[in-house]
Amino acid sequence: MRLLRLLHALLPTALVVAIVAPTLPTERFGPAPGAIARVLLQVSVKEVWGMYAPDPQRAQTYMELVAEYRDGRVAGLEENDELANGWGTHWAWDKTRMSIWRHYANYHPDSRNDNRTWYLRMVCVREARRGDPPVIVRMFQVKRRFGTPRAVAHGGPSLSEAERKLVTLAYCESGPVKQMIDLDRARRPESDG
Amino acid sequence: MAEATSVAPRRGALAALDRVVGRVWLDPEDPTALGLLRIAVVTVLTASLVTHIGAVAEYFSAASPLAGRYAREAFPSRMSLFFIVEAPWAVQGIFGLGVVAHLCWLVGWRTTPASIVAWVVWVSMVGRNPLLYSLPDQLQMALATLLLLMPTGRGVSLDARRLGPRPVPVWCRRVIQFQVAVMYTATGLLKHGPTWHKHGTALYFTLVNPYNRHFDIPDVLAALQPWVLSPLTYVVLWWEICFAGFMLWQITRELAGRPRRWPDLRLPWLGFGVAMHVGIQAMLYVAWFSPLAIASYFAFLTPGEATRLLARFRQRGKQDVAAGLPSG
Repeated sequence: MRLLRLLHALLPTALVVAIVAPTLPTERFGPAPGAIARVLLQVSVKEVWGMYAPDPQRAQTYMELVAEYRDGRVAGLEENDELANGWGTHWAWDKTRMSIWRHYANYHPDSRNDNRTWYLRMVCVREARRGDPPVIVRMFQVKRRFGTPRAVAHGGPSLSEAERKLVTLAYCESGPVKQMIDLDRARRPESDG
Repeated sequence: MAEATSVAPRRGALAALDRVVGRVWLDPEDPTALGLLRIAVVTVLTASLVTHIGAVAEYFSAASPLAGRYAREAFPSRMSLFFIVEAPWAVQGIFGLGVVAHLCWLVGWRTTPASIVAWVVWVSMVGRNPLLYSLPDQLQMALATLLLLMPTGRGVSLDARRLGPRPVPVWCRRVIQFQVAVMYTATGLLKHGPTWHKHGTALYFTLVNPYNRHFDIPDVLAALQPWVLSPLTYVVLWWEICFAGFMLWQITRELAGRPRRWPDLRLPWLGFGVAMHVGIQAMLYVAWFSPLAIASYFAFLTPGEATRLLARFRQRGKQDVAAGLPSG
């Protein structure tokens, strides 16, 4: 009976450890918090909380994708709608979850970001399915900084002029992306037609 | 004699420890509060799930441009049924089953199997492409997982009507309280930037972000900054940081038998939280975070309060029905 009580008490104790441990700094608590976080991540539970931390965004960045085709054409892709219409207001009904992925893909423009890599590969496959695969997709970031409340109160702009910057190129005909497109065509033969 | 005197205190210590463990975790309580918590949280989970309709195949099946082994390669740390089952019709079928499971979980019919199916569907969706989910969505997975591990069907449910009321251990509400407290306090401690601590401009910058603002009113917000937003920035920050202290205060107060000199802080503390989340929901698009956070506050109701709340709700329903009946 006592053993059963002990085992029962271990369940909430383990849950509390699972909730608290991933939030602890590894430099002070060693590898245990990370190990527990990795186990939880397997079932998509993340216990690292950091909304608007350490600061809220002070600029908004959208991606701009420009596709270059084999015949020399250059065209913007559907991602650019957000760039054109994303500076006003947003409600739940005009957001899709793809916008969250694009947001992640914009992180760390100056360093490697796997979320961006997979997003751009996905774009290559998507465009190939539509029958017009680009050769290269150029990803730019367009950033506008928010004016400080003091500046805005004195008549300054609430959003700065746009700053455009090339982030990376995705080669849709290169090894891994081409393999993705080929495999996708093999799996979905109807998409060729 | 010596043996007897040495054993007696040990027994006493063990008994005391047993009592502490009992009061903190294991003592049984009426299941109504946990039942109400289940209804509140699962209502939001169901609403959130339903908003995927129309995009299920595009997000989670072979119809997604990121599919097959490449999807698995992109998200190697996650588990998902949709890495195995990929046909769009099958994924949509599993999703449909998930919606039914949520409804069963909500009304508490076959609660345990329903919650398992509902949870597997969430794990599969988020695991299949975690980049479709943002920080506020984390709370969904955390609460769904915790509720899965609790006997939430024992109160305010069809199962309870069928099997009769059965008590639940007190740890169920406490663990959810812990989850809520960790979420706020951890976030508050990580907010160490100058907009929170030095300039008091964090709320202003949050509300003017065109990524998710509902209203494009930077001039109004700038005018409100010195008198409203700046003080509120500090209040929100310290409210978050101190949330763990509030939770410990309340638990200790409960363990001490709720003495009069130990004030109950729930109404002002959680009332501020509700007001803050209603404000966030009104001003920003943050997916389902605000309703879910408010739903989680049901964990702070005592069983007695939950029972009274439910009785009032039922009474009101009866009165409404009576008022609607044709006279004569």
